Amino acid sequence: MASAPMAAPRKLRPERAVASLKGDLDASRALLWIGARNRLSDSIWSFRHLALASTEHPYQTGPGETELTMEILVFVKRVPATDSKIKVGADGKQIDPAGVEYVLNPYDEFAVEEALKTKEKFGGEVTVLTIGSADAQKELRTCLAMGADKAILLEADTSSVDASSISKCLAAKAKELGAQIIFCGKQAVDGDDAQVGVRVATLLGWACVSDVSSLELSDGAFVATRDIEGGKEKIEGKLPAVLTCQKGLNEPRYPNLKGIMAAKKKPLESSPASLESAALRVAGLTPPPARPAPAILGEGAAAVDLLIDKLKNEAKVI
Amino acid sequence: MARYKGVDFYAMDSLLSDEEIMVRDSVRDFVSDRFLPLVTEHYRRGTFPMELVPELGELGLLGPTIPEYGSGLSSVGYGLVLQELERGDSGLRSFVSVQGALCMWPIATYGSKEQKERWLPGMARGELIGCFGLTEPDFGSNPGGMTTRAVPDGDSFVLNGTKRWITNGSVADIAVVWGKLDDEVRGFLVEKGTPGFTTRDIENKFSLRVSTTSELIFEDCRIPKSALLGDVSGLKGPLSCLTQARYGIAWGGVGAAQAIYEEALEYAKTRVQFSRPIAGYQLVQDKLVWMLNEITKGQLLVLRLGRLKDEGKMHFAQVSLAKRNNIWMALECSRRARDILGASGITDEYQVGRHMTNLESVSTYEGTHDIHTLILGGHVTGLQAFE
Ligand SMILES: Cc1cc2nc3c(=O)[nH]c(=O)nc-3n(C[C@H](O)[C@H](O)[C@H](O)COP(=O)(O)OP(=O)(O)OC[C@H]3O[C@@H](n4cnc5c(N)ncnc54)[C@H](O)[C@@H]3O)c2cc1C
Repeated sequence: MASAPMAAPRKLRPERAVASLKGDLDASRALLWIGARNRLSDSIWSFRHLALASTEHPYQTGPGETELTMEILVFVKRVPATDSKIKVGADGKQIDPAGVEYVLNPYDEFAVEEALKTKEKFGGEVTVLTIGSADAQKELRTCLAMGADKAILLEADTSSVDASSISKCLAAKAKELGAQIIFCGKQAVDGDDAQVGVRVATLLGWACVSDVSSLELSDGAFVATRDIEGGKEKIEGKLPAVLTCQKGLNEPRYPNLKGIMAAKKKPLESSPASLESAALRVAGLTPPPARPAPAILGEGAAAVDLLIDKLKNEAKVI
Repeated sequence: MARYKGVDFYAMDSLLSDEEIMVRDSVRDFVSDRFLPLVTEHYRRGTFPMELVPELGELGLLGPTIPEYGSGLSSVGYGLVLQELERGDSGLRSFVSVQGALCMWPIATYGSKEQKERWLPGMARGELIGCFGLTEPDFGSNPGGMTTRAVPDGDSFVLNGTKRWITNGSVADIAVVWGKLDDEVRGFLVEKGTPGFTTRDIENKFSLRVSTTSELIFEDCRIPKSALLGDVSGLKGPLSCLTQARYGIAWGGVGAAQAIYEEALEYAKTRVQFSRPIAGYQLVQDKLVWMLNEITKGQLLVLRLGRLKDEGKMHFAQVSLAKRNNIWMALECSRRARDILGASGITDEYQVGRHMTNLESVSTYEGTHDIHTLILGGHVTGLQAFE
């Protein structure tokens, strides 16, 4: 968590300069070139020289200097805190927001942390993206305070959208931003749909691994481990990819004081989202039934038979 | 368990900036997730969780308001940091107060460029630890009587004397030691391992057990002349540091009181005696309301003090009032809470006993409750009760 290294200073790195010469690279090739750099064993001077020779690259950052940035994108969502008392609203289709505390979706914290670690290792830029109300700026600021470089809020009333319309909007934005890798939570703890990451990957035609609990990235390829019933599954693939993040992947850092103070100066763009109308709608919400009052069945050995009977016939758990 | 939310009866949050709230919440989560799971073991053993020191540095909690080395945090933001740390334990808050206010602050304020460059970056990261040696076995409330002396000898000073009750004394890499040079109080930076400088820990404390407390012993300890804090002389040196630290302690008292109140409230709502939860009885309600009342007043006091500090208008007598009130208030809360918890309140399964005994130290150090009464008394009457 807090022992994670601080962000590396942004400067012209020779490995990125070389990659930048290779035209419009996708992430996998960019990473390949990072790997190639060790084999090339040229001096820093000559990398710099090559960088200066390139003049037309889209990633150009200043006169004569180019820099390929790895575009790392994270989808995040503002959700009710898991310890909030949830009441169904008057229409029976939405929750009553009164008195509910909102937080960054807990699984998205793993996604942001993994994005920051990826940036610290390979360089690049981390953008966090959300679709939601203006209130979601608070959660975006939290991500900026953790270390993300830029935040984008696509403003929309999300009360009547579905995973399909959200995913289409996010995929279009990811394309526009030139994202090379996308991290998101395995699910948002409000709707528990677990659809967005997978849908976006499908729309983009990218690889996707869901429920990632361990990840190694190198040379434009990845090895992701996911938890499956009773074991683990290891998956190899190539970037670009969408990785949906599960607990265990990392320990999200606490925003530190410097990060928090820096966050207010980082860009947070806000624009209206263009969302397709939803194909699905929520027909109704039902709260879980009130728990029956606990009963004491008896004491000591005398209660055992009765307990077994209740577990078998009432609770039907044994 | 539900996330700890603190006490905010008067919607104080709306008087805080977004950054201040974010800083507070970050430290709050750190204390809940990283510190509190460890505290009971350390309390039993009488040790400080040294493994968390790099994390304190990484979070930016060490000297955050020090120009150039800090993060430009407001004084209220810094106060909220200390409030949350003391919600965990007074020992944790003491560590951070000593490092930031009592060691980094005087080096930044009175030190040379070389001294700043040598010590401050490592101290901000938590790689170097500081301690502050003012109190002596025979001079507590009356530091002006100190007998520690530095005598010039060629290009060094020779230091002799004993400091007692020094937080972090034996774990510190650098001691800010106050001693007399030509009968005037001066500050010296003494490095760990300097020949003639030894430490001895004070064991078997009832209070502030999650903190190292030591004696510093100087026997013909030779330090270079460059170890002198050049820009200050007289008691003003140490007292100005204490003003910084007392400011934070006043916030800390609010944190400890909130932890105690929350625990007592929860307990009272679930503990059934006779026919109903004890929270339903008037005498118990009186205690809970007393706590809420005093916590709310204490919060408003430090918030105003913090804004004054940022405006450069804070007077040391105002700091005395806040330290005196808020630690008294927290200690009184702890006694009431302990009472509400009945027998449960005397085991370390609950935190109130730990906070209560801690607060006895906090009430004594950095100027005892009564010494602050006399500082204020002198301020309002113009008649000093002590020299
Ligand atoms: C856990 C702990 C950590 C500490 N850490 C540090 C540290 O890091 N650095 C450091 O320098 N010191 C430290 N101290 C020392 C602390 O600052 C002193 O204990 C404090 O200043 C009081 O001094 P004393 O204990 O000698 O009490 P005394 O000064 O002897 O006071 C005893 C009693 O007499 C009262 N009294 C004294 N003078 C008067 C007067 N004129 N009128 C009326 N009443 C009076 C006091 O209010 C008190 O009630 C620490 C103490 C503790 C307990």
